[in-house]
Amino acid sequence: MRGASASALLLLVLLLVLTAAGSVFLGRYPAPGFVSAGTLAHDPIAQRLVLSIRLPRIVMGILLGFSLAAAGTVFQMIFANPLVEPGFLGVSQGAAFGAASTIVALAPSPAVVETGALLFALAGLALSWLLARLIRYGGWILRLVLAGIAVSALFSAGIGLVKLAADPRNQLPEITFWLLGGLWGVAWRDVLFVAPPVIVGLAVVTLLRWKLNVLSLDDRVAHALGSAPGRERALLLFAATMATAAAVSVSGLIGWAGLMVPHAARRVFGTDASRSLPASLLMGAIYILLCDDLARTVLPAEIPLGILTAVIGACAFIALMIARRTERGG
Amino acid sequence: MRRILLIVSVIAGVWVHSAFAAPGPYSVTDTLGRSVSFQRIPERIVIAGRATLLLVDAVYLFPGIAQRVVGVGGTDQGLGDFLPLIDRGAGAKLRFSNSVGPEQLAAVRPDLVILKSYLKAQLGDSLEKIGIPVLYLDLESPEKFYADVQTLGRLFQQPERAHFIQDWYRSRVDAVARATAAAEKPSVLVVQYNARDGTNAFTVPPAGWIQTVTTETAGGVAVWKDAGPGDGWKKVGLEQLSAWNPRYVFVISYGKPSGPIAEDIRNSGSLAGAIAGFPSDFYSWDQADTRWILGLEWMAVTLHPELFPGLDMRGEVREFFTRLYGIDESTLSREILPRLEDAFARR
Amino acid sequence: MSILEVRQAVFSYPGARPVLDGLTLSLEEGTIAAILGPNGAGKSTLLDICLGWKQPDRGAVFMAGKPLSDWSRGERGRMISLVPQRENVRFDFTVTEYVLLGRAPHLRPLEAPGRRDRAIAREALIAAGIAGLADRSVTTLSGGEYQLMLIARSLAQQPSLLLLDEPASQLDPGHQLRVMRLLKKLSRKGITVLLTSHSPHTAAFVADTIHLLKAGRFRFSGRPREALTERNLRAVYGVPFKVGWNRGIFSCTWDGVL
Repeated sequence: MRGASASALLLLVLLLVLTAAGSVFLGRYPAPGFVSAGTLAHDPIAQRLVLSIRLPRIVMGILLGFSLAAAGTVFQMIFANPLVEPGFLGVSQGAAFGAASTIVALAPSPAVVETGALLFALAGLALSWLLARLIRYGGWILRLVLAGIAVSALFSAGIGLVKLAADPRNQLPEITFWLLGGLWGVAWRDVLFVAPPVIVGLAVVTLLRWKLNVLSLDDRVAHALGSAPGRERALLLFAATMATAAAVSVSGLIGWAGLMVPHAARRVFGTDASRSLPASLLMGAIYILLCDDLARTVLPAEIPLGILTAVIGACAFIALMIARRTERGG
Repeated sequence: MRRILLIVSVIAGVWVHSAFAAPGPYSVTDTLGRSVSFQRIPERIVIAGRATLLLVDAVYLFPGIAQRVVGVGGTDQGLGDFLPLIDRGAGAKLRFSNSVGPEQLAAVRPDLVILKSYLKAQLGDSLEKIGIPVLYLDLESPEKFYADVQTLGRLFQQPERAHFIQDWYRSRVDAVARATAAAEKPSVLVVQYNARDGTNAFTVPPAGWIQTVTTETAGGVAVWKDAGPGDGWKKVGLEQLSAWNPRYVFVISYGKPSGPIAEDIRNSGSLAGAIAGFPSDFYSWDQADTRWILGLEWMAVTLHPELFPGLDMRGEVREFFTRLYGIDESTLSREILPRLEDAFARR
Repeated sequence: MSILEVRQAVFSYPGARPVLDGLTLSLEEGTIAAILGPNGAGKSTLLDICLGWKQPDRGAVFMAGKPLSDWSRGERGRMISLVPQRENVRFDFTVTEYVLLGRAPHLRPLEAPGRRDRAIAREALIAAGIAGLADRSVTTLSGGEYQLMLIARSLAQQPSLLLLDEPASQLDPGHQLRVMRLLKKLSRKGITVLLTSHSPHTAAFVADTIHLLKAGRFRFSGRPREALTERNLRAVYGVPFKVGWNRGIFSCTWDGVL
């Protein structure tokens, strides 16, 4: 099976640029749909809207799409499992717990919530890692998976407790909205907060993308090929998680993008990570942008982004599973 | 002589005119301490986000405001939409959902958006970035209510009206507090009852909410104050309720008439004490809506009927809706009074 | 010149008896050595130790005269390659992409394979005789094709020492012959080969030296004719054999009635 060529990657880049450009003009002001260039030129409200509300949101969406999809590819290749999502090592639930706790315990200023989410996301990863080292049986994959499930469950329970203590008039809806995931209220300050860890994490992952192929092999074989599989996998997992945790701390839990997009990228571009990873990045960004466009344009109210990515992602997943040629997964 | 009269009348006319002319630029300080400037009184006001019924009722305390409001959020808590009763043009107003986005609000081109204080980060900041002025109100306690009424008075350039409202409330609160100061205070439980999701759930409000203040001012002991920390409605079991053993139980129900629910609880025999439904016309009188004063008076007269021989709830309700909201007698008798028969029945 | 030396290696898994108990092995450059022994004798463990994947509890491994641990990962990867018996394939790489993975030790940390690496991978496919499978997905290969692909990957690695873990076990006789011929060709080029097997036939056909492994040590080592006697085989496998040499070709069957 030959994957699509490098020129197809360029096509994806073009598609991303077009989607981003289109998204700038799309919204509910002054009416649902596209704003004309003329209006943009003469209406100060429209200009401010585009600069302060739409643009940071679009940039954030791109960073989010990059992170989730790239991290999904890394996790799926390292764990050799098509069903893992980047957040499953306690990262998603940790971020949610961090956000919920800060919303309830402290004044819910966005910067505080994001910091709390990020800290607890990384804590979730650390806990999963430590716990995996304590488990005495099974291969390292099994240990990590079990540890991830356990840590996620603990944080999930913690979220329940926090929700009980929350004020249902303002805190609980905020927590719920965070859990459903969305990019509303994203400002340039959030983009600046998220950009460094995302860029660093994605740079590491992208530079090492061919190595990812080697790391998807058996440990012994990877060793024979001159790798230190434990260390190199840890580095990639950490870099991927750092990017994901940062993005998720602002956007809330966005599911399915990290699961679906890597599949689609592998389908079209082949399994070789040196192609499928960049493809994943680009497709992820396009996917999130399109979903976010729907989220803020279709209805007068905001549809939480996480709901859209889940619905569309699940449908795509079903279609993929039913399709004739199935990928032989782990 | 005529010339002098002419000059004087011209001067007087100018002076009178300037007194009633549109004011120059002015600024208003809201509940978050922010100073918002206005060139003139806003003419396209939007009241949106969450808890809009509290905000709308506060804003409409000021006459002549209805035509300045172009869009509001929800004003129906489940017992009907109250807005048409205070705003003849309600049908033509834009209605927004709780989670409306800033772009949608911007599309309406408002010159002021009034929001609940906790929506600053989520919605208010985005609006300000686009250049739309935002004013935040709190309303969640009597003190905050008075401050917010002052804010609105300054916003609408109706300081006398703001004073009138404040005096209305203050005089009633003081009268009740004075009368109950030396009285023996019975134990009171204010509880919400939800027969949804299969299980029957009693929940109590947090100690910091307005229900506690009004209960204590009305001369009762709020037994639920030590129900535990947290900022939301807390579930309590029947055991805890029996342990508190309140003499009076006031049952709140949002969205459904509380009378039948109180009746159910009475018949079930699971609680001792005198059980009554908290009155609600369109909104329950317990919450931080402008009706909290009615809730206070009703509780006072229920707990200490002998201390308030002259307090006629029917009269108070009539005064409230006609004087504060300008609702006419026929609408009052048709739409509001029938919903309150239970509240008057205890007398 | 001894390319690999194992000196007095002792290895046991936690809580078990020693699998290797003072084992010594020396591989001469350019030779083919085969290790025979019953299941569970420790053949795979020995390969793991030669690879540096497991460390012996006592004793040491030397590569080209230097302790194995003194060589860097990359140097070791460029010298020693492993063809495993079985590998879990979870993703449908193409055969070419899979063989390219063998170039890993020759690449710098952030480097991806270039044109030269692709050329080497193509030659490896040709040498292994599976050039026609270049674009096939690895999940569609038969057992024999798969084994040949693993060998091709090791060839792309251009090692000096090739370790094979029971290379013939999954193959039909036709493919077995192809593999053995390939190993002979490599040996003539100067590549050292160490393979494990539980089939005396293949060992006899291809090996210069045969080592019989039992109870953690080599019981007999020598050229095929010397090592593969009825007495030795019976001692190692615990059942009687009938051995014959017919015009230089080894054959053996179990002795006696079932």
